[in-house]
Amino acid sequence: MTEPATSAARLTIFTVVVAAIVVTAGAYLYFARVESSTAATGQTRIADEAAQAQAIASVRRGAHVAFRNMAPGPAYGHLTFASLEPGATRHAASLSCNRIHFSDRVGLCLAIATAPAGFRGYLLEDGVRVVQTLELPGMPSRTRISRDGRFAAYTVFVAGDSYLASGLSTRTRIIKAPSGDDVADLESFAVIRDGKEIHSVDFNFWGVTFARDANRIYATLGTGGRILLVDGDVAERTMRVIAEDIECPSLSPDGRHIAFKKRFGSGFDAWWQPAVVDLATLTVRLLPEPKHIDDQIEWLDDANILYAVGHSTSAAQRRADVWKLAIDGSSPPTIFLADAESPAVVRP
Amino acid sequence: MYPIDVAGLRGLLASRTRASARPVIPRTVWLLGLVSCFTDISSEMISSILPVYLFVHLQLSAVQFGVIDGLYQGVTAVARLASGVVADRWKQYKLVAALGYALSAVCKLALLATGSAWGAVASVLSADRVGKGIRTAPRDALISLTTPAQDLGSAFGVHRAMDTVGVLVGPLLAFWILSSMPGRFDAIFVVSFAVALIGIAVLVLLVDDRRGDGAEHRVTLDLPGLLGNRRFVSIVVIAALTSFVVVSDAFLYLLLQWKRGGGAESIPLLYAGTATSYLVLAAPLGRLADRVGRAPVFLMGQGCIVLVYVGVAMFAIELWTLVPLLLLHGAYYAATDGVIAALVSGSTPTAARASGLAALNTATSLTRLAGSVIAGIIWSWRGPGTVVTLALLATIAVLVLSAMLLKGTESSTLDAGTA
Repeated sequence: MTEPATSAARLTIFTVVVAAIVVTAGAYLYFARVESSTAATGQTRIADEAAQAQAIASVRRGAHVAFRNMAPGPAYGHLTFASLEPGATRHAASLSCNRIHFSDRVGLCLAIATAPAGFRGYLLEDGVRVVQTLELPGMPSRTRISRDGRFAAYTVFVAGDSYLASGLSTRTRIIKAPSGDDVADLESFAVIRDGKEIHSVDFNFWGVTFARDANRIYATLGTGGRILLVDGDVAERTMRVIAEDIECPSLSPDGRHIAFKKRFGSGFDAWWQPAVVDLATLTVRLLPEPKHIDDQIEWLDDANILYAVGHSTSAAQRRADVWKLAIDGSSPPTIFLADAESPAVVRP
Repeated sequence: MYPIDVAGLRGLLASRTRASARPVIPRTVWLLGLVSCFTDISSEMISSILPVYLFVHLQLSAVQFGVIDGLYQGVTAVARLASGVVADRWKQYKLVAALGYALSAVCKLALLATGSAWGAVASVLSADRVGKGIRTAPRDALISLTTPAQDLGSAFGVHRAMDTVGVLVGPLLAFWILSSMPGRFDAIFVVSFAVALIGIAVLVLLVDDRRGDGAEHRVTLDLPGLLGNRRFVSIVVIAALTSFVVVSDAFLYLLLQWKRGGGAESIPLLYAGTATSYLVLAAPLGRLADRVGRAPVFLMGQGCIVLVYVGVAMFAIELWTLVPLLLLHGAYYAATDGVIAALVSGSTPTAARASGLAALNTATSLTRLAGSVIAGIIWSWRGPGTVVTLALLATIAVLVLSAMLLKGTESSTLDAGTA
């Protein structure tokens, strides 16, 4: 069994080809890296740690918004704070977060850790100080902190490691803040519909929003292709189905309205637009916003909502803006924060 | 271990002394190992970030994600089988394998262009899997046709070990890129494409093709002939049954997490544990198979997976139980994956080598999928405890059955292999 010799010519061609590939890919990596670290940072400012903490503390004394900075540059993806005044300076923390929510005392940042692969939750005090780290069982999806700061809820998507090897399921947990101690998994709640308890192995819960007393929650239950709005009691571990087709609820500060994502189309071609339901009458108002939204809606005040809209579709860094819209539908949406997502409004 | 023969790499004849106990791993096997290593770095870079890319970056809906993930994980049975038959018919192992590698490589670049058009993403990822389906059988045929029959276990062991290096390196490379330039998935796709190209360059420019030995082999009809071959059929049946009863890696890790009581053990770390064990043991166990017989080593591998389930069923999962479990899990792969390819090669005539290996791949991937679905249903209905008990009983049953079926096949494998 003889093995023919590799000719010197073939070896030379191989060397040249590999060198060309390595140089080309290396150049691409180099320029991508330079671009990521030096692109214009706009209004976002990262000072040294101490100065930064001081600036953030000063922003946090007034009404402000915490969000994920999406402006290209070294602070891309970072937890960032800005006061609610238009054009306010943005102060980026050193922490990278995909989903963010805050009360005035506590915050929860859900992040995709980079090495080794994993997903983390960081419970924060004073805006930027990590007091507890959680190992998340999946990809960050939604998070909310109760207004009194005693509880946090998060939803993650578990994909790829589901036991059917494909498909996707959600896990939603309520934890104590800032200790991170488990309070409840939503799957452990008894679900009541029309006076009867219902069960199914395909129950998926997501998108918790806390009422003012923090024991009462609203959330989404997906089962059998239907989307149900549930009204839950955390201490009693029960929830009642109160409406259908209301997804990813967000309760207004005055507790009168729920802003949610209304689904259009079905299956593969579904998209979501913001809508509001009046809890007293359960009447739904679709809002004048044709753009597709993904994340849970946030309230700026009792009359206006905030939500992120992504506007790039390439494999390069994703871009998104936070838009503001009045819930009476009287005016078209306007950009509230350019290059931002996952806004959390805090009024101390 | 087996030192790389530098002289051999320069194209000098690797002198072979049959009396020596040390197996000779042909240069082609080392080079194909290198090709697989680069290709796996490339594809594992993508699959390790794929859920995050689809879900967090492109923000696809759950339904869209489910379809794409299903396609990506799903079988590409037709491509697998067809490529084996085509490679045998036209004696174009290298060409067919290269086409498969090239298709997968182009898909990495195509991901740059698809953006968030989910239909396009789904098509590209399916094409990537088809490429994988196409390349596997002709590549394994090349390995088996260039290696002396008595060293097949070692050759496949060396190849699988090099392959696993790629499995370990790919995710690290992807996460390094993402951590140094957040959100730049384009950089991951470009690097993945470049790494795949290097693999193709090794294959096209350095690997020598193995053409058919002559026209007389053409008379052998590929598949019908194979299906009449009792030895071949029993080996494929054993492999298929084994894939059916052994739960997937992801499922095993879920069982380990469940045993730990919901503590989020890092799944990538568990993967790395199994892969490291596989990497270290693949070549030694392949060599052991050549010396003491492939059937006993294959049965030993099945014994390892039985022990894994015994461990999951009986012990609390702590660090001191987790490490031996992952070691055994890797040993299961090391004693079965390459060894079964060697067994099939040994029972398949040269002219139908790629078809035989393709039939093996197709059968095992179909039964693996069926096994996962059934295990999932049992988990939903009866809970993880039942899954462990049933998996344990089923693997013991398959072990006994394999021992009965393999008895008598081993003695005659070697002469068939040298055909």
